[in-house]
Amino acid sequence: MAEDVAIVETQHLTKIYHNRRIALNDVTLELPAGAVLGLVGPNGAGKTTLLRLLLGLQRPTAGWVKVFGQYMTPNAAHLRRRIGYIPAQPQFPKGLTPIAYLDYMGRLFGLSRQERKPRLAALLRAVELLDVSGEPIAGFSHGMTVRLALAASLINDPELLIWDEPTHGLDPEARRSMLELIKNLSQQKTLIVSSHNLSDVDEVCTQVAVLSEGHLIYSGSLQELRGKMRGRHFELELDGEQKAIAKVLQTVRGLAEVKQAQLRQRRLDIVLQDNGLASSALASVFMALADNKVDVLSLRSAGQPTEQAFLQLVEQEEARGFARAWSYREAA
Amino acid sequence: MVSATVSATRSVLSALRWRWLPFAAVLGMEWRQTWRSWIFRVGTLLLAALALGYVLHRAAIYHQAGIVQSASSILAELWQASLVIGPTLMIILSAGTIASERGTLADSVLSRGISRYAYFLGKWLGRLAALLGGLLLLGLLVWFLAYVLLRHEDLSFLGTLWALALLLSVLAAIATIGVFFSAICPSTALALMLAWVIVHSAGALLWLSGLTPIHPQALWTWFPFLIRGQYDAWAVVRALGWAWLIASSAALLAVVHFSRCDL
Repeated sequence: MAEDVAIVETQHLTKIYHNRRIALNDVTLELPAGAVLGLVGPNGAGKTTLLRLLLGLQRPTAGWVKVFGQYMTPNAAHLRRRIGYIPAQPQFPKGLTPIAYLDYMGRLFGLSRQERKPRLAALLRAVELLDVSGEPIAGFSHGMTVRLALAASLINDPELLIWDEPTHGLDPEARRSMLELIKNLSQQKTLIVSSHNLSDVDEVCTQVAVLSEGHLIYSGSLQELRGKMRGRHFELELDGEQKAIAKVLQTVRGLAEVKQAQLRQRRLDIVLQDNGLASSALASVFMALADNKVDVLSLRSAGQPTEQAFLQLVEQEEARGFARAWSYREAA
Repeated sequence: MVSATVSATRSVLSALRWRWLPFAAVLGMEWRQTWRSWIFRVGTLLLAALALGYVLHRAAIYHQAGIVQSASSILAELWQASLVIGPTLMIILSAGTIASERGTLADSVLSRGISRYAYFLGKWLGRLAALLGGLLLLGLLVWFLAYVLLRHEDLSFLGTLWALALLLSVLAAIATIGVFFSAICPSTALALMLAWVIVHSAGALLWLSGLTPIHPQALWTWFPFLIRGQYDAWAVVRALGWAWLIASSAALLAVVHFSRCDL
């Protein structure tokens, strides 16, 4: 496989269920080798649909999916042999023990007995299920089933891992272990992690894809996402008479470029309008400060956590209303 | 030269293994899961209780009251009864083969290194093997008891085997139609309902049209003669061929659809 081939690539990927529901709308995405992609979005945004399309469990209504440079289809077993998957709600055949289940999974990947037996033993030990490896899975807690699903996703030593909500429902300790595992695995493998928990995505992912109502509204690095949102929010620490500062606040609030201004003791929080140059808006603010003889002790761009950036992105997308139709035509 | 040949053979065997191992895994799992299912156990136990109870009842009449009971006619009656209740039982036991796992367990399997073809074939053949295996064991047990406990002068061993093969083949065709609907329907209830209606309608149509020798009336009248060894082997082979042609066609249509559909 050539070095520059993307591990996952989608073009205009669209999924419409029975002409009744648009689950995914024109998603174009590229994931290079070694990346950890966090797939985020509100409930019903199309995250699971996208993952199922990547695995060939569903067929696209339009567009295509390539994995390891080849088209993914329901019969592309050779591609799925290189993928490890954890579904959002793992299900297990009745009456099986973890050993029997992992053995079954190993056989589904075509692994010989010599390969799968030692591997399943090592995995059961790694996910701390060794002492219950002979017990029926039916009696397992949610955390234990997630750990078993995790072991199943690694039995074929995959190059690409697709994990749907891997930390969902885990206790803090198990969640921490899962995040540590993702960090370790990211050194050798490519990962796609769907999650509702943005602090998890913030911690382990190098890239993020934001879905809203089936549409990909952002795809890129996390830093870029935070930076993109951060550019409009500033904090100024001021020095001067309280009366003069209050006057500055009034002036700043009157500026057309300023969306919102708040004074907290001597700290002025300014949120700028979405359009226009930030430098020009800040020049007007500084002018007001100078006119009132108020000094600036510090100025910083107020950093937003990923969660806030994500919410703002979704809000912005929804607020665009019909304008979205125009950008779609431009993109097409 | 020798080492190159050995190496090539190994790589061919390895390629074959990874192609067949997933299929064999699904086949084995389906076989085990069918035997473990309570509906299969209840159905089989009920059939066994009815069949064995009937044979023992007739044996009691023969031994206690001295009224002669012929094994061939008892077996023919049992085989005929299987024709009446067998189709419904087969549909109940096969309609959930794929539909019951859609979107849940099937995800865990089909997201691994297995194609839809291998998955379908494994599920179909595994379910068929479990159902027919259970019925074959029961049929042989009933035959043995009838042979031991009843008058068996007119009982033909080969004829009984032909009759059993014919019965099982017809039931296999019906079970395959159940699996077909299971593969194309989103829910077990819908698959069950459609399969039941289609199988019974098709049975009536075949009977009225006389197109094939495997309609219910023909088999009903045929069984007593078969069991006594009064049969035309070619006609039996033709009937078996029809049954398996229907089964294969249903399976082929189902696999073509299933290999392209969403889960």
